[in-house]
Amino acid sequence: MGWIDYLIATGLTLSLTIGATLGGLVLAILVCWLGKVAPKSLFLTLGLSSLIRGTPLLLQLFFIYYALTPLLPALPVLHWLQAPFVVALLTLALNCGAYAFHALWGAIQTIPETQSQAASCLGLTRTQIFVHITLPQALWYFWPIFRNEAIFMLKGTALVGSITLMDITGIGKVWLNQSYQPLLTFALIFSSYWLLATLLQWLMKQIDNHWLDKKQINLAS
Amino acid sequence: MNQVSLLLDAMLHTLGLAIASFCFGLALTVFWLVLAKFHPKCQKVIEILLAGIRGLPEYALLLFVYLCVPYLIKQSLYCFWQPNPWLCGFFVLSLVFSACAYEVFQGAIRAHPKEQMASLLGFTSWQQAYLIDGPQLWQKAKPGILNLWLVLLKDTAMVGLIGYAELLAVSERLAKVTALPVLYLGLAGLLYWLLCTLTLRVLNTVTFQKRLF
Repeated sequence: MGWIDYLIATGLTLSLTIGATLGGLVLAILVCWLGKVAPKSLFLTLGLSSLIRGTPLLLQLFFIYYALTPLLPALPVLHWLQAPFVVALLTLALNCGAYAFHALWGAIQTIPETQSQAASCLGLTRTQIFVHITLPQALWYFWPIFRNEAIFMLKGTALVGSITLMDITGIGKVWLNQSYQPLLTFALIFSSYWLLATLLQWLMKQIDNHWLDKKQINLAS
Repeated sequence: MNQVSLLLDAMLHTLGLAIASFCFGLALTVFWLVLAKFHPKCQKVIEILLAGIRGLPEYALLLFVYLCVPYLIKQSLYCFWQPNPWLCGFFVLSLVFSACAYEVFQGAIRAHPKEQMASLLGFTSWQQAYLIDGPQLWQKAKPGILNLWLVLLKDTAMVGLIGYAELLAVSERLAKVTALPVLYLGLAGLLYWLLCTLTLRVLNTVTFQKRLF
């Protein structure tokens, strides 16, 4: 059991976390945009997000990996979709997206409807209103909740070992079986997760400080 | 029909584990809160400990208790303990729940007004805690606690990975045996969703206390 394996596992956990968080964010924004542009789609998205939020992440992983991907037609083009990494990334992003959609939609509700009405009087389209007026303000409310969501995703990646991926927990289990030094192994696992969580929080805080424009929000509200 | 009864049985196992962990988790939360109130140094230690627990994946904690604690017992007490999946899951789930619920209650305490007329009206401190502060704190903490209940209910799926026959583990086994993964895993998902929705509704009804407010 070398250090190279450990570094690869850490990279896997980190890339899954960041990929899923970004994917979830993009998904949530897209679905909220759809809900604003075509309100009838909300019926579907709210139901789907309730279903995703009402089932365990582990079940979603199993369902997509064991039940859905075997249903794909056996084309070489689609082969990459059956890779465990892609399945894990998709599942985590879907899960994060459902929670993030819930939070972002709540944040959008807090923004007064009069702003959109004024903007539409000025001749802006619904997409323009969403991108320039609603979203920047909603993101500001939404970000503290989303920071927690990123930590949840980091904790969720520990489960991908069950679909044959070797993340930090998975490599720790192998190490445990080979060396039989549980204390050392778990100290390593726990400290890695702790470091990653700290790093993630720092990253989210930087985004909050630099990218989310507070001046514009103060002017707008 | 046999498979359905297996699934329902597993669902009861899941529900039982979740309810047991919820009750013990609430008791643990009260224990942490009282201990933190006892001494500021205690509070610091507890907060660091609970923050550490909240930052770690539940699955890693579960594996730690399942794989590492028997080793520690063997090393220190020279006796062999075969770890019980239910007990390990129960312990870890309630610990994680109490770590999160502690934070929720701290938030409620912070939002709670300090000066109330109760002491002027002649209530003893116990009566104050029981009749006046308690219900108000619970009212503030309730949404967070109900949310944590849902998290707890969904986290029970992890205990299946260390060998407890709960809903996900049983449905996965059934899916493998019958080669009908869409049916059984989908059914399990539906049952989880139903459990979440129904228990939330029940808890909302049970803890509805407008009268006390």
